[in-house]
Amino acid sequence: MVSILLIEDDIALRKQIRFFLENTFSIFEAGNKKEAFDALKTNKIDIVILDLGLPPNESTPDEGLRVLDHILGKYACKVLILTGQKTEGIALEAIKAGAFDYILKPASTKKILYAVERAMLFKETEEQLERQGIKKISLDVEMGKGLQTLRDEADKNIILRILRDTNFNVYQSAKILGVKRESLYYFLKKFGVKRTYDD
Amino acid sequence: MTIESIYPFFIFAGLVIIGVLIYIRYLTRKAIRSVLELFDLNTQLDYDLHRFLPEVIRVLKKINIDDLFYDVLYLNTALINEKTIHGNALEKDIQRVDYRIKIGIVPRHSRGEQYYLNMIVLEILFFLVEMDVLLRIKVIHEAFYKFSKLQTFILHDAKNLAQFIEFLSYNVRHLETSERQERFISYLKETLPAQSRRGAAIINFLEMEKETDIETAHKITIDIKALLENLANHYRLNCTVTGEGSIVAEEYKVLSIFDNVLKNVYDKSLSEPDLTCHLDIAATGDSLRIEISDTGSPIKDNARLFEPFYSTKRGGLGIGLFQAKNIADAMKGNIRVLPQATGAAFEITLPTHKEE
Repeated sequence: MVSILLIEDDIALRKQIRFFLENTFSIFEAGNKKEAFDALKTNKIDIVILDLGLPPNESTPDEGLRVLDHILGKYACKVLILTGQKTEGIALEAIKAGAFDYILKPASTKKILYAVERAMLFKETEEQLERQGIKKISLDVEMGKGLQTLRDEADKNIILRILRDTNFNVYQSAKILGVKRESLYYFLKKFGVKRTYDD
Repeated sequence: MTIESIYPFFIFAGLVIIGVLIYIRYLTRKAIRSVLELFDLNTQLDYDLHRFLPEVIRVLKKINIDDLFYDVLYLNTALINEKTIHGNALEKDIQRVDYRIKIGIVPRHSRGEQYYLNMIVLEILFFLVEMDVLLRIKVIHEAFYKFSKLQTFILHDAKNLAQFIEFLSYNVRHLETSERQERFISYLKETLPAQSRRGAAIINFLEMEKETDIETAHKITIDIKALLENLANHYRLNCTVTGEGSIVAEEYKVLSIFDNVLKNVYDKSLSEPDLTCHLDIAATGDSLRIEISDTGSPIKDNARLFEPFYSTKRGGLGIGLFQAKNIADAMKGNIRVLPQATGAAFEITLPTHKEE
């Protein structure tokens, strides 16, 4: 069963979303960053529905964006943002960080269900492709900066992806990438990649 | 020429100097009186330029200034009075990003010493007008800033509420089995206190500083221990509660006081996971004393803690503790911060009103 983590500080709303989805999906809940990190650590989560206005800064997206960065840096789940934070800059930042979708509250149940189903389809397809040895990576590059930037970004992205999949095991990652360990260390230094630990 | 023949000259020169000094003193005193009158007038008219500037000429005429003209522009507001009398005018103007001020006076005489007095009067009048303009700009900017903060707060809750209703209306039409019906009701039961607190917060927020009519207020007996335990559970605080007591009051107000204080402890606990708190309830005569202490970091900026719209938290509205204090004061109670060697502590005193 596909598992969904609801990260929403409004308990009344969270319970209604849970009731809406729990017949079809396995649901986990979190009301703040710590609960979210605990839930992600102890369960295999496929999709996250994330509210950006989390305590202690409910009126800013800061805490939500921190949670988003943490999830995308460590886990391979799809993140749907469901928030009341209506600023073009915030949506841009969230999507740039790798959020799958950005839905503004209040949204219809139909729209939310559609986004969940789409995320599920993408996740399943990517997993299927991965089983065939094909990995999907996403790139954010400024086109005017030339091919070198594009190549660097692609290198960085694929290395990060493999490292995450191997739980930062450099030996295994080098093997999967077909390069020497020394070369991988060179890339890690070049891209300034350091292992981050859970808060 | 003998020395005695020069005496009358000295006496005459001395009398002239005394006469000049008396005249200058007279002029200066008149000018100072008028300037003080301008200060008073500005205060009486609430630093409102639209009322102040038309009245200024009445005062200036007492010191032989026949006309006042001005062109003041700030935040899309213009105040213009054209020069009506011909004569030698003294003018001063300034142009800034937010405002423009031009002020001129037409004195009846502008000879010698009178010129300098007129200049001083003009400079002081200009200073008063510029202060009024800056005050108005600051007040308006702050009003916009606070309004946008309030709007963000209300919008956050209103959007969540609208989203809640959207899901609720869908869910209520999809209670296919008795098991789902039971679960739906259990979720509602579990979350009703939170909804009630949200309602209380919004009402208190909108009612800020408005006294509820004591005769019509709906007061009930509130078990403070149960209320604190529920709140501590809601915020999942590692908390102990000692003592007990009850008061007769409007529930949403009491809830709002403790919710605002405990929300601060909760916010702190998010970055200080080892934080524990202790709530102590004690009856003292006809009031209840509740101490809320925690082992977390000490309170920052103690002196400004209850100041409205002041927050040490990024994006914080700075209204919670201000609101809590307002409600407690209106109930003839009090909230204060207790001096602590470590951690933080609040003392809340509320009248029990049990005789009513």
